[in-house]
Amino acid sequence: MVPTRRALLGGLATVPLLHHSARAQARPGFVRYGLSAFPPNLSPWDNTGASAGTVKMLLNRSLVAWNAKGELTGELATSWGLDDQGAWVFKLRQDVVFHNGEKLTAKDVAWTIEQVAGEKSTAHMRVQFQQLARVETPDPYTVRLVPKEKLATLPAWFANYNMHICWAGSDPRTPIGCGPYRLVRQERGTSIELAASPNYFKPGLPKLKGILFTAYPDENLRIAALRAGDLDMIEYVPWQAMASVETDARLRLDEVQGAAFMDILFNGTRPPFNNPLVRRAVAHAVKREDIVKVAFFGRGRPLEGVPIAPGTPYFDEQLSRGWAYDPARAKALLAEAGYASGIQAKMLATAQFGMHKDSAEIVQQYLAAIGIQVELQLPDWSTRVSLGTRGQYDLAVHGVAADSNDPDGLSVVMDTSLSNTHSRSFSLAAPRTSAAFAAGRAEFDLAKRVEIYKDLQRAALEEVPLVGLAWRSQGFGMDKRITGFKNLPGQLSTSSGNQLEYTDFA
Amino acid sequence: MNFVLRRVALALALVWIVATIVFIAIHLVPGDPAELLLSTGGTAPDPATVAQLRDRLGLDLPLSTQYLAFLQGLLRGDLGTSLVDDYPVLDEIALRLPRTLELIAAGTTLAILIGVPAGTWAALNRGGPFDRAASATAAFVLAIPVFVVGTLLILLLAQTLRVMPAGGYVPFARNPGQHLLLLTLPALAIAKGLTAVLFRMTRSSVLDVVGQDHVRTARAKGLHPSRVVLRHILRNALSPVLTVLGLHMGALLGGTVLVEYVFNWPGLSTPLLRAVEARDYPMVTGIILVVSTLFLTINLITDLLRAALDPRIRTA
Amino acid sequence: MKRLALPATLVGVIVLIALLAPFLGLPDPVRQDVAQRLALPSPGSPLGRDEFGRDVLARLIWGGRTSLSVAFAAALIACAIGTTLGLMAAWFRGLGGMLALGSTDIILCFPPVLLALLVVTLAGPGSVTLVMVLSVLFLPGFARVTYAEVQLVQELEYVEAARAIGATTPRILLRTILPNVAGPILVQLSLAVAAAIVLESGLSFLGMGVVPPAPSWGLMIRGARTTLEQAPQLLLWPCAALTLTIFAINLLCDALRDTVDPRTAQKSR
Repeated sequence: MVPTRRALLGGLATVPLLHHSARAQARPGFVRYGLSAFPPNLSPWDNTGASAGTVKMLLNRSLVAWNAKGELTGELATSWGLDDQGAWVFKLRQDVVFHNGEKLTAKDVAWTIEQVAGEKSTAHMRVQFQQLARVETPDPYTVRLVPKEKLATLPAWFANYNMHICWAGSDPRTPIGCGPYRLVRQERGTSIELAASPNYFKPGLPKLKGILFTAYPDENLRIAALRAGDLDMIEYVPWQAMASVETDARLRLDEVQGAAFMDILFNGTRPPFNNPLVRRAVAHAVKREDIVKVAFFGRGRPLEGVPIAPGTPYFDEQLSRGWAYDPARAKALLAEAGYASGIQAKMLATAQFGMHKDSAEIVQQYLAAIGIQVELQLPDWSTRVSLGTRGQYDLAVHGVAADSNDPDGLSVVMDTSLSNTHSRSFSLAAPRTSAAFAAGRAEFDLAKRVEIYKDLQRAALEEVPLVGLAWRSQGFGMDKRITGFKNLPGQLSTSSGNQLEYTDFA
Repeated sequence: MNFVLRRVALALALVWIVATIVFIAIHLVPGDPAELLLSTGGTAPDPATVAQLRDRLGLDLPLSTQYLAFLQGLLRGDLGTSLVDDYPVLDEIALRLPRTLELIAAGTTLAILIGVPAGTWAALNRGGPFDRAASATAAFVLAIPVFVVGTLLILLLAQTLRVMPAGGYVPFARNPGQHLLLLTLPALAIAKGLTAVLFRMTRSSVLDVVGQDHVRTARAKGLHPSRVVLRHILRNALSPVLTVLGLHMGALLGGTVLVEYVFNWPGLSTPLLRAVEARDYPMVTGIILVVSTLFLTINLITDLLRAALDPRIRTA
Repeated sequence: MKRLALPATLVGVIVLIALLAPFLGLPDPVRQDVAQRLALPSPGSPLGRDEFGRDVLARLIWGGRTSLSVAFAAALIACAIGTTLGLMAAWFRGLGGMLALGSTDIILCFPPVLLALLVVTLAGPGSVTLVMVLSVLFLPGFARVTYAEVQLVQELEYVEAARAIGATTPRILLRTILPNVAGPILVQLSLAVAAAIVLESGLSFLGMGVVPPAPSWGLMIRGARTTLEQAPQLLLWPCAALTLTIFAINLLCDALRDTVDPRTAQKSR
């Protein structure tokens, strides 16, 4: 009997080892990457979210890109600048080859812009590129973009993860790119496998043989899979798990501050929030530290002004505290607006994302303290988008990232003269803020731009097109052996996927 | 034969009603698929761009036209393509349905193997220590939500002990061992509730039958106890158990959502949830249609099985 | 009767605590105090504070009030309508019966979570929507079980006897058949209440149930899951409350069943 029992015990003892070796079956040279959402599609120009953007930036390349320091660097373009007629001229690299072997020329750039700005286009950058009067290709490696009006921020358009240059001969439904990786296979909703492109134009890159993307929509499971060694790297480390990733001997956290922020939006078509005094009262009513603690586990910072990133020339310490927590002042503003007896309203957010729900609960409590009783409406995300775009709310809690760290990137969240969407206040009049955005876009001189955007902050503090609540950080978690990856600074964090061409295993 | 035909006709009518209800309901729910797709990640699309996409997807056609097109497609066996990436709905179902069915089959098998014998034994020894312990365990197990069990299993087995992967899926053909390993936790989570339900139903049903005259007669005739249990008690007691099992298996078809979510098992529930979130109308309608057809088939089989087990129903 | 005493007391105490919540001198369950976030038990709050610094004991009791009232309301509505439908379908048979039962089959064709999703997105999340969804979900179970049981019972001697002595249909249905099929229906009821409580927690967990900041056990579990690393005890309390409640309800229904059901009552003698 003894040998049998020993054999049995031995057998049991090997079980964990067996599983362990089964788990550590990563192919050498391949990184297993956990996505927070499966890309709805990989169209190089339509916006289908940041996770899709990560994959798209690897399959394709654009004229320029953001580098690890958050500056624009050349990709397909070697240089760019303004000519004396106010047109932007891009010089192209001559050694770029598309995945099908065709060489890149200026024709491909012109064709891409034609697709994006076309009448039937559904591209994310469509409105921007429709501001061009024409696209000229004086020689095969020069592109000249002539805008209808002066445009200071045009080059950055090409760094957006929804703007990639594709081969002019492609079927517009399946455009061919020239990125460091190629699509090997994908299983809809589950995984995407990429392999290094053999004819990529940067010598020695990409460093990896391939990347296996798997979607882990549940943040708890995503972090569990990283800890268990099923994944080498994940995006959007949940804030509550960041501390434990930092202390894990096997793992590393790459976190950047100010990647995105939470804000309050208003419906400008009906009282009481069409009154800027009431909106200012709301702005002074909320103690932001509570949101940072509860929704982000301390992984963020209070945002008591216009969301201009600290450390940029446009940041102003005093203006950044323009909406500091001051309940007495909030009550006074409310009384001045004629609502001393209080307000009843409905506040829209979504229960689908914890940070939206948590922020809304805290805002609700602080608004009650100054006499604004709000009832929470927390439908699913889709309904929230729909209600927001149609203005079916009094005030709303939202989370968003600007397009870039340049203040003009904020126009998509603050310029209420643009069309109504769920991520901007609804039909709210903030004429001075909008005028400042227009002035900033047409100005090329840095010192003058700084002044314009400081004026913008002063205007916005009074007009209150939105109320800033809290900056949040964003982190990538990875195995310590992974090298060459860098989380891009500030609101560019969602564009960090382009760093995967430098990524390698030590 | 008449009985079978009537049931099949009824089932077909139900499929049509379900298809229509889902089609109308999902179009009534607020949210515009074109706007949602272009808003992924919280960015705000331009209304003109949304209008272009609506036009391309045919969302501006009258609802009646869309409904007729949907019915015509249905008659041809075509469920359409996704609004999100133009992927054929049928292909998606063909890929994922087998995985959900595998999960349900594994969970149900576990549940039957544990629940039915335990329920019978508990009923035959009513009030005994086993009955009390098992009843208490069943009540306890029924009470813990599946997502808590999932979280705790992952926390314990994958993160702390590191003997299991945290979830996911590997095709059986590629790696049978890993496939079964990955199946274990979600199957356990599915079996959890069903085992308790089967246990309770079997127990109460057997108790019912035990008190009936023919069992007492059989006992009085001096038949062997195991023969009494098998021939006289279980045969009659299993009919309501089957009804309940059929009901629950149908519910499981769509009820695996939480389990598939927590364990990242790429079955049919995840794309369904995603499709509802994205208001991907063809995908939602197609998946529910297939799930409900399957459910009706299970129901039909349950009814016919019950009729076979219990002659009184056939004559009714 | 003696078997009823213990479970009845247990359920009674739970229901009583939930009913008496406003008079127990508890702190306000929605009042936040972020400085006290995730605080451990202290004299003022014996179960500690949650992620917003709210009192956990107060939320547990007020949450129980929400969870229990939703579950009981849903199960009783489902039981009343479902049993009636099943009874009618089995007794009158024919096309009407088939249609009555068939209409409940339509409900069963929908995956429950999806049905909830559709109804909640259409009607907006909240307690009333929850009761609606849950009662619709459990209705077919009652209809089918009643139908199956009545089919078995109506051919038996005592029904024939009641018919023979000229009893009216309502009288036969209510006085003769219903008591004889009450056992399985009661079992179904206990399952439905228990399942309703679990489902409520599941839907609130997915954000489709009770609207915050109102407390419910499901919402508490959802909140505790994110703070599992920082404060695992927060997951324990709502889970323990759920388990205890369902356990008690199940015990009560088992005991009730043995007492009420004439067949098993006979046998147990």
